[in-house]
Amino acid sequence: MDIEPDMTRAMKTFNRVPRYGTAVGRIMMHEATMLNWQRIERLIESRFEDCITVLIDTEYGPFLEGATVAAEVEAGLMAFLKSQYELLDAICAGTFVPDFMHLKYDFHNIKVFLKLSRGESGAEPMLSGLGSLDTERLASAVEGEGGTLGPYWEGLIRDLKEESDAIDGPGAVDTVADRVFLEKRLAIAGKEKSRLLVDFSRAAIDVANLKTLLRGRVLGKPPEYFADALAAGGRLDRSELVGLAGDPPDRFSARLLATRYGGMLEEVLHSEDRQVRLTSLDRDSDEFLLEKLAGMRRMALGPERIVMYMLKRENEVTLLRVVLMGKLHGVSAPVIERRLSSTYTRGGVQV
Amino acid sequence: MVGAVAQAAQGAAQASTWGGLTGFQWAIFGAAVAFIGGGMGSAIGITYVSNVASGILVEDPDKFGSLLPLLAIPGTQGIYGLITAILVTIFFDLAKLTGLNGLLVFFSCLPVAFVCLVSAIYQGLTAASASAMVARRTEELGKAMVLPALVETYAVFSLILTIYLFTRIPK
Repeated sequence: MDIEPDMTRAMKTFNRVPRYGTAVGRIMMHEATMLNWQRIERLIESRFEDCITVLIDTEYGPFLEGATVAAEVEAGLMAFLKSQYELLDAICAGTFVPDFMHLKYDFHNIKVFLKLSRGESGAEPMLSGLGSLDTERLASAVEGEGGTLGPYWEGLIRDLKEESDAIDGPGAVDTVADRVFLEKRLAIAGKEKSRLLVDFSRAAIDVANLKTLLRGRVLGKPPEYFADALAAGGRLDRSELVGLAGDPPDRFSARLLATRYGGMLEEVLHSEDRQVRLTSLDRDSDEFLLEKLAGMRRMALGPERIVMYMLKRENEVTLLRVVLMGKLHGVSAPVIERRLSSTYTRGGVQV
Repeated sequence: MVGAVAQAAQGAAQASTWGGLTGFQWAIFGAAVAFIGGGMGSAIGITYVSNVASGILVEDPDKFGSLLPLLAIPGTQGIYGLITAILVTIFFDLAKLTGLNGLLVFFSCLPVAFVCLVSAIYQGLTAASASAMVARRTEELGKAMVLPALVETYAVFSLILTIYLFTRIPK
């Protein structure tokens, strides 16, 4: 990955303000309405009805008003997130930002249809409404009908299908699609030459690769699985990681601890034996990626700020979902708080 | 030898032209450059902060009053350029200015021209970032103003230096 010369970077800052300035201004206003941690704690302590009353005064109000059951809460939160994506599409039209953000959901939907085409059941209700691709056209493209989504997506879906068909087992589509998603997202960030987004995407690849590696070892996956599942483009060399998969435990731990992610992996690797505490790995890796996001504040007037806002909103919705669903199901406040702190990071909200 | 050099220097100082331009032409050139630098910088700086402010105003038009000082602050460099240009005509008898003195006037105008050009652009960027504070809480305007005001300091210094240099040039 090329490092931009300082002068080019400085000039880009000047060019970006006219391009993203208005969008950043609008995002600044929406950032101001995000829930802070004190408010989340207040929600945790409240009854479900009181939570909804508190949320009525926020941006969630129109979406959660009158919600009394889990399905309504879920629909409300998803509608809110959809409204945020519609805002993003409107204010960043013609830029790479919507592509960067929608990609995750487009890949999710592609996975759903690919699984359906392989006869893996139960995929239909899991479609996401946050993708940029029309789901009916997507379904047609997965069925092999050309001319629906354009050559880029059709070629990509064809490649995904071929690669996943070449792998046996129920997780084949996830294995291949998750890898390709990370690589494509890095390519989008690289095309825009956003250093911080490239760094973020590379860190996301590393984190995903490390999780895959650790989980794969616990599940006793064969070496060829890692060659299919690990994404290229991260700071940790993919071929070295594939090679690590077959190493004896001591050497495996020592080599991972020597990487830049050693601090994040310490707890997991030391608690090995070989019960890897993957929940804490998920939390630590999310925390790590959100720390990366915090660096995006430095680019106060560029697309990074918009991406940071969207990712933080998604995290906020996740936090709210845990709280509200917990309340609906009669989970006590300490348990909800413990679940939040053990599984989700506070980085998504203003602390 | 030394005497010859001194005589040549005195001759050059008293010559009506320097480098092919008269003192009047050099001075006017300096005045124009000072205003061009300050004016261009201000125009660019205001554009930056306006871009962000317009986004904020789309969401909340009531913040216009709070954002106005942030929008206006990169405009001061253009005023400094204008002041410099006018001072050139007030300080000096342009018709009688020698070529060398005209050149000195031109160089004296350069601090304002360059410092105001650059500081106005960066002030625009700083004000645009600081407008996030106003977006969150209108009452933070005071703090938000401090950040771009710090950038302003150097534009003020450049104007002070230019005026001081004017006072050192023989009229």
